[in-house]
Amino acid sequence: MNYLLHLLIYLNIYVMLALSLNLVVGYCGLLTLAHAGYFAIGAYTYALATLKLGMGFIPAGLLTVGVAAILSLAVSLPSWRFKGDFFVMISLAVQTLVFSLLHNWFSPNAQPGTWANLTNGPFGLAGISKPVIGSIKFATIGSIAALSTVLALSAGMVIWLFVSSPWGRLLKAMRDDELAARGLGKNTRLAKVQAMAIACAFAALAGAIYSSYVSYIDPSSASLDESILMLCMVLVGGVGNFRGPIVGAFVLLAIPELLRFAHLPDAVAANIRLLAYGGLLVAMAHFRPKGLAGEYRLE
Amino acid sequence: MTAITTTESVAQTTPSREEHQDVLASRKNVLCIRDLRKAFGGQIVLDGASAELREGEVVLLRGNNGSGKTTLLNILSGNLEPDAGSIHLQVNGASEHFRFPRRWWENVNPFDHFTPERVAREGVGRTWQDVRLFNTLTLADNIAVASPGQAGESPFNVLLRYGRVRREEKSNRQTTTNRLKALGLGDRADSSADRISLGQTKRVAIARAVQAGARILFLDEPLAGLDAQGIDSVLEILRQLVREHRVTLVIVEHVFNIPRVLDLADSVWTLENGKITVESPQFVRTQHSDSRSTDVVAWIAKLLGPETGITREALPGGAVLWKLRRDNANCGNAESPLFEIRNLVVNRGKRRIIGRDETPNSERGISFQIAEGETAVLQAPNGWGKTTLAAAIVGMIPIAGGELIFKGARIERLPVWERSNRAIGLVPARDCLFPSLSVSECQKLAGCDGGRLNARIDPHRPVGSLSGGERQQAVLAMARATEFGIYDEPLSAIDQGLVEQSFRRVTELGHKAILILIPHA
Repeated sequence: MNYLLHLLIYLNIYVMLALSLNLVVGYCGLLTLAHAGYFAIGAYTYALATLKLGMGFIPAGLLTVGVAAILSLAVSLPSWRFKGDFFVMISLAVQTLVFSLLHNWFSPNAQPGTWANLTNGPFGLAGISKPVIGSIKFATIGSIAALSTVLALSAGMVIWLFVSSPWGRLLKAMRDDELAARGLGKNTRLAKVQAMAIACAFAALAGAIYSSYVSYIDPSSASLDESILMLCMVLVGGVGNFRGPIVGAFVLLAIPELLRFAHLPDAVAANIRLLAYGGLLVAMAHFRPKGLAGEYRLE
Repeated sequence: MTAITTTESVAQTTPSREEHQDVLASRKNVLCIRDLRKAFGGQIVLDGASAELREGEVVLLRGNNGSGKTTLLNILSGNLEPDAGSIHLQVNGASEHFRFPRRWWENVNPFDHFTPERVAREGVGRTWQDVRLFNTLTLADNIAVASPGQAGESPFNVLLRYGRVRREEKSNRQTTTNRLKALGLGDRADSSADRISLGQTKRVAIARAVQAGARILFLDEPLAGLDAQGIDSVLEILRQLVREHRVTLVIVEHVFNIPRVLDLADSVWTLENGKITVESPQFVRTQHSDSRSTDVVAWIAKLLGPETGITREALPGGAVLWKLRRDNANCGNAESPLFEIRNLVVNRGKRRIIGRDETPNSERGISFQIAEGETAVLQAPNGWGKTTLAAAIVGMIPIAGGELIFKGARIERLPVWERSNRAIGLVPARDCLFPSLSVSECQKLAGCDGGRLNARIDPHRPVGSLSGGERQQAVLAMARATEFGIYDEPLSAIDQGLVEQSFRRVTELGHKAILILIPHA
């Protein structure tokens, strides 16, 4: 039972990540590799807010969302000028920057969470408290699963509202032909900033749930592998509509779990998993370029 | 308002036209440009262009290839900043003055940039030569997205004032549906924008610009590539816009379609040497009436020589194959054609393009033959698959059925380079070029000698920097002296004097047979 609840929590986190990433990749047509960076920023912000400032889940969550939304300018401002491969490079730079910041903001002589040793470098932050809302403590795995489900559902609902609104339509128009959209008097720069801020905020929220569930966070969650995993979910599921990323999150969660039942030795399993992701991506690009359930073909 | 209606409905007689001019003269200026200058790396395109537009006026903008028509359009729609000059806009009551070059503090102020969105919000709209609809959106969404000032375009409103967003969106949908109905596309509202014909996309593009609140509309070749029916429907929409909504139009059109636009135009701006001369439509009409008939086939026949015989062959799907043959052309005979197509079927993806079965008893695929010494002109409606046919003949896309026979041998299994070596040459439409190569490099790549280019085009300029008509000439200059030459819309965008010259070069290449693909006129 705990195993299933554990899977449910991961599925909720994945769905939030995939849905938010789809706002940028599917609706803005901007392939970003920085999403894991914002996931980690959320996880660290939440960890520091609870560990150092003693905040509860709601204020810490709000702080997380705010920090990520502001830091999303690091990818949204370059997107005013760059698109296509150049934007991918910029997002990769942001991703690397975030990772090295988290990895190197370390001093052996200072306490973790102080200015000199903010992230505790490669050792990560441990002992992050379970979520607390008011007087309710989400200490059991069941309660965290419930909380994450509520959050994922509301994130899904909000994102669904966004993408089915005129704003979502504007994003799609901008993705198809930005100059034509500007020629109709649309402020596409603002729309990009908004979309990135919303996407990064949801990624950060997913990070907050993750760190509170695992109660430990280290820089590896900001690694490029994680960004690629998130991108895989979106691309395998399909971009540009609502159901694609959900399907993708489900598939990419299921693959490693199914491999687990194949009783492979641990040393092999991790590599097989990566191989499966790679093979899946190549197969998808060849046979179903729009993804399993997507509607837009990423150029 | 009544005065305009009279002029439009009564045939263009002189008194009513003058009356109409008086009405126009009493209207206010909506756009005033002074001394616009623009140069691209030393090449001066605009050199002190000045003009005025009155509300509800229809202007035809013409000029030779490379004279800066598109540049002027790009400047006036905010896509390009001129080097010097001023633009005064007075459309929706508010008055906007842009002076160039811009001062540094104007460029620092984020709300005072000269950008397409800023100009669009002042009531200036444009359509593009290549239409540029939002291809993944439905037709309804294409128009609905254009509505200005939607509350639902802010994510905050979507979350916090959802009721208002819903109400607004509902009325927006209603307007959109009405607009589509007015275009005769009411039943296609939910089809994707890349699934409709070229003529329909052009109409939707106009509706989209109007929905965005355009009071001045710049139209870049709105009739280019359209068949007769498409031209009529676009003109009807434009006429309606002027008559009922007093929208000001500036239409860029190239030579073959100018006579059609003249029926609508109040004045003509001619761009020459970077300056604008204002002329009357009557004057321009006299220039055009002598030399140009809109019948391309007759015109080609005239170029080929006085004794040209024409035969007409109907193909499925409303296409017509004209075979022009000079009687003194002595080579070849009809028994053994140079090139033959038998029951050709071509698909693009899952969609059948060539060889759609329209009548139940018709043979599968299309068939025709071209004999040596013939110039064949295939005139087909938009979306018939002209470009697909050309690509299939030279082997760029596979065929789904049928035979291609060149000089008695089947070639449909040969790769594209083999067919090219067997002397089948395709001159593609003008957008199929290598933008970063210079014109002379392109010519060398195609393996043909230089010097076949119009002297006004610098052969060292990259193709990407050429204007539409110049590109067309560059493409023609890349034509090789193959036995069988296929030309995809070779005459679009070239202006009057040069069409004849360019076409003569084609005949001088010594093709044994030519296939020219053009839209229905």
